[in-house]
Amino acid sequence: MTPLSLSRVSVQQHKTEILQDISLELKPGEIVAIIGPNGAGKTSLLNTISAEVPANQGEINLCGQPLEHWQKSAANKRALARHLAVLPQFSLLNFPYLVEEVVALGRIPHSTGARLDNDIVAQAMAALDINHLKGRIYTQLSGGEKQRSQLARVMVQIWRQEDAATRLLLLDEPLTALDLGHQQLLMQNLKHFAQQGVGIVMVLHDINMAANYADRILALAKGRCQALATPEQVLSVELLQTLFDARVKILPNPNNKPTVVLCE
Amino acid sequence: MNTTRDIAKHWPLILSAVILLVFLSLLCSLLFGASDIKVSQLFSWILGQGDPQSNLIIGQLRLPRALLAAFVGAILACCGAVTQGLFRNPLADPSLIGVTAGATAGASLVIVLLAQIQHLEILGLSLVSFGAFIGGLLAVLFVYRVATGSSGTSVATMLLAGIGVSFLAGSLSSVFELIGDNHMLRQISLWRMGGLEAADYSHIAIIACVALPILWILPRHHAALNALLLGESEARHLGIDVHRLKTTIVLCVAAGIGVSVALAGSIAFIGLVVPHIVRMLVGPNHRYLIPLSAGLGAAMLIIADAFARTILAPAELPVGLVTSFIGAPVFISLLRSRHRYGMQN
Repeated sequence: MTPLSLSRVSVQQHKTEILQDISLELKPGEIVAIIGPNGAGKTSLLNTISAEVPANQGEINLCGQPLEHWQKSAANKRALARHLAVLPQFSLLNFPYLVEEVVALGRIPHSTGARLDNDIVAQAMAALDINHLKGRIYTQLSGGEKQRSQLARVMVQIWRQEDAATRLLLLDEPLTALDLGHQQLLMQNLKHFAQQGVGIVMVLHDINMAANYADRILALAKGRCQALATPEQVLSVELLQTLFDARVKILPNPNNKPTVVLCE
Repeated sequence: MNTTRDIAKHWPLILSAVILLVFLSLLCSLLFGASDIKVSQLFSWILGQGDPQSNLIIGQLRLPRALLAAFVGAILACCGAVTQGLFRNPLADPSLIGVTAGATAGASLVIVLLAQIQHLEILGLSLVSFGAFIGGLLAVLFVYRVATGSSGTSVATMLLAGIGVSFLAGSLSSVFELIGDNHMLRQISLWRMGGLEAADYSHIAIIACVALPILWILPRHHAALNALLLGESEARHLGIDVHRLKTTIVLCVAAGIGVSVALAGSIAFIGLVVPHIVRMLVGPNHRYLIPLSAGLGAAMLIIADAFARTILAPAELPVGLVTSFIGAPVFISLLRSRHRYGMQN
């Protein structure tokens, strides 16, 4: 089953077009990276998929059901949370939870019992290299450590195939606060997560990360899709020039992925 | 700083300890007061063999009063805990949404404008209590309406509307104070300080009708409240019906605080300090926070009322004064040490 399909989705807010005519068919296990300049509508696209912002036109299907179906009742909303997890750009948590308590919040939509939930929390914390933060108070962590804890929380939410056959993960700039090594660790984790059948859509600012790890890149500008294809097809000097108004060179890379560097 | 919380393991023990604490403070408060009651008299009263005088003092005066204190304390602390969760701010207080100011305006209106009939009683409740309850409820409804738009209820707007309504109600109360005579002024200021001296069994019945449903409903939403601390959209993504949750909480808080203010006046700081102390002990998980706050709030107000009755005996201090005198310094010291337990701002 496709985790996500958008067909000709448009969104208006305060009489301005935020998104126009976006179509996307996500396969299970696929990673799609959204790139584009500031204000292009990247976050709005994620918000539209997760029903935070209503679409004015077009159809959105999540895990085999139209978006409206998931919004019908409290039970459906809870069921959707077992299929779909979302990591927002900022986190506002200002209460002194322990790190493992924050991660365990991801199990709220499930009724799988404390023992299994604790196992899953421990696995996710190990995967994201935050085991040593166990027992620490969340509000006292650094930005990157908070980011990894929040990521563990959303991964825990859709950790097992047994809980939901089709799973979708939306991430808004998950790399922002992370150092180089943890960026790599996180992307490898996501790749591994995708290999278990989770569809992943994420907003990325780092074009080279997108080129290295995404199966497809969706380039957005002014709410419109400029390109949607493999990194090799999308990343061209001309497109990046029009998208970002930046002068770049594209170099070959030993692993056959394009590498984008800025010209002086 | 590394901590481990094994509350889950010891939860039954902790809960029973708190219930025991409430019972003990209830028993103790029966012993303290203007006239001496000995432990032996208390025991013979419990066994149903007390003399008429101690029967009167314990059964008709002190027990209803202690029970009222228990219910009011539990409601205030419990509502404080969920209000802080709703506003995602550990320093929020139920009075933020206008209920206390509205109740004060309602009570002042009755005291000043309906002075001739204010001793009229309906269902054993004085007209002043009715005025307070209706005033508090109207304020909350207004705040809630202002903050609710097509896109749901905005918590930030609710906070600001609460401040606005509190000012409005405050100036209304001032108007009534201005036109009232000295006796009325004294009545208003006594009402403001809060007191439990009017307690009788009809009051207990009324507050129990409100408190028991609230103490049943609020703990059932512990997981949803935990998720709400992450943020509203995060809670929605965890499958929580956020709008319904907010409505439920506001209704519970309005009813609970409305009734307790109507029966006991405004009693400060219990709703702020008790959840704070509990959070320092067991963390912000609402599963433990709500029941423990209710228990500690009940015990604290029972003890504060025992103080209020004995310190100046045979005269009485308003219990609201006692709680502010204890609560304010505790609160300020909490503010100064907040970094030690992870509150950032």
